[in-house]
Amino acid sequence: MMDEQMNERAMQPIDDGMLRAYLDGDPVLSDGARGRIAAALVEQPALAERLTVLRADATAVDAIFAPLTMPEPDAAHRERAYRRIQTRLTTERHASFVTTIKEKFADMTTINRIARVRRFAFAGSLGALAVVLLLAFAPVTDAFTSVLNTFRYQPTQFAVITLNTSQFPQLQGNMAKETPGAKPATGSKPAGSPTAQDQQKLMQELSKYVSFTSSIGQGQLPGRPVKSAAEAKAAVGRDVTAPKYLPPGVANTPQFFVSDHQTADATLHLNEIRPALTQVGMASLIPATGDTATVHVDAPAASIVSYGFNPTAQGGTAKNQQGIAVIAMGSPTIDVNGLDVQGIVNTISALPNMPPEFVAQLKSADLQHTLIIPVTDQQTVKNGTINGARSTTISQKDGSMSVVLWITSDNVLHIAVGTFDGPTMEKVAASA
Amino acid sequence: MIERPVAGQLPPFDTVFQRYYHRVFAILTRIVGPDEADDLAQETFLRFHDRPPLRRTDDEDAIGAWLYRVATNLGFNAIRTRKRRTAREERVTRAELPLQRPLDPESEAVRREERALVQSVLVEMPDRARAVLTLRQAGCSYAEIAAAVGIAPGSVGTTLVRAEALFRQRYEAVRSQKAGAGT
Repeated sequence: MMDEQMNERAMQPIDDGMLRAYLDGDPVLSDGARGRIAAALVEQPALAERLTVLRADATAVDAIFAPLTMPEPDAAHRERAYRRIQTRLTTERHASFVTTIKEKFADMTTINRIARVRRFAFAGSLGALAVVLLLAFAPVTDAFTSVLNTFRYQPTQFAVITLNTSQFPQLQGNMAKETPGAKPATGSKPAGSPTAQDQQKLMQELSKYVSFTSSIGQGQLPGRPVKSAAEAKAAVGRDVTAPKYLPPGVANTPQFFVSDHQTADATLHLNEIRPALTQVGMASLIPATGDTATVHVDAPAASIVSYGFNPTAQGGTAKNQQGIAVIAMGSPTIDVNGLDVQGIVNTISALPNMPPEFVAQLKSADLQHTLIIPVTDQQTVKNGTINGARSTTISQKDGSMSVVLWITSDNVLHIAVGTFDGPTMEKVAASA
Repeated sequence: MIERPVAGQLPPFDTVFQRYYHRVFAILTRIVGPDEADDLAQETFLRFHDRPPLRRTDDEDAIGAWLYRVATNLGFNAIRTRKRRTAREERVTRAELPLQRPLDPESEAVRREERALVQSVLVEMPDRARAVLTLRQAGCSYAEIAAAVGIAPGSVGTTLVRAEALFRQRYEAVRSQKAGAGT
């Protein structure tokens, strides 16, 4: 068809386009057309001059483009490029897996946040939910090397892992904006937070792979009001940790709550998980044999004393609440059976797209004895001491809320949380 | 693992990659420069993998045309939006996937400046003109250019002459402007 077109054109006057094709030696010109142009160039000086001009133009443009010219990619270059495409196709599947992990984390964080917002006075849930978070960031021990083993996790200290919100977009904008005690607006949900349907769907999908039985978060949040410190002490078996210092403006009327002993069990159906992981090239996450693995979480009872919060407050009243709460709970334990926890962390750490700083933090912590607190870069973190015990203070950058965590020598985990800046809450913690 | 392209009984991905990679890369180096060309060539073939053209198998020219069109669009979009500017600057210094580029930083800086100038002129040109010019510079035949751009093969020469004239005119203007600003 091209030849026909050019042959047809061959009978027409020779234009710049034909001359240019002639100059380029492009096969779009038929032999006949090429011959006709060659003859015309000999016979017509003006045409030959035009060809010279076109050649000069083409040469000038070629010279301009020279800096953009690269040697043709050699076999090694092509091979590298091919491998990169291959990797990327694999990576995208991994990336979706990573995204799932991130989404799961963000969902859990959102659940935690919503729970905190709705029932801030029931802040004992923080401890329990922190334990739940540990399921997403599996604990490790350096001594744990065998594929099948039993692993016990019991934190005696805290470590903070900072998550860059740009790498976890669902966290952006939510943490800083919410005010403890505020009720989420009816009919709206924070950007990136899951709907009930999302949660249901997620749980349905997860149930194929994991069976959960848990008293954590069942029904009412893990906190029930009690009348006095004595009643709380009777329920949890130790003294209530109550602060002697209250920040200005906080009503000096304590409310006591008890978070009863909680347990959670997860059974991983390895036979179901194995093919899914194999498909994404991550079979090494779980043992090659065995039908199930189990994770058992034991969260001891906790006492909570709060000042200034009315858990039933609504709207603006709730939003403007100023208060503090101090939680004391026995250190939780997590038993993992049938999983190579170290291998899981190693594999997850090696995943493409995992933020390197996150991986570095994960690997550097003594995770067997460390409670991992994921925070975002919207928050500040400070390590210090509270009455001789090592502590970690996490504050919103705008000072609207802070949490101080410390573990005393009797292995009791304390959390002081309030709508104040870090130093103020440290003062509260030190007085407890 | 890479298999996918089935639509319309296309050739295997490997075959297409081996046959067209060098040309796709050549097109993209002329649009975005070597640093970004690799990434965009990768993107082009990933698109072919994920959303292959609904053409017949035996029409290999159509596959080339499709790839060249995608590469050209990706390249000019990349320049126009400047989305990757920061990444590109960072990439210049990275050691990963080393390309054959001069080690002399001064001459490389000059080349980069020249490339930027060419790109700034190209991106402002009409779509068809810049596509024809770029594809020709990448060594595509008139038939390939015609298929990629969607014009008659017999019109490529004329379009090319006009595109070159326009490009040169604008390039000289920008260059003079820059030279004037520098003095």
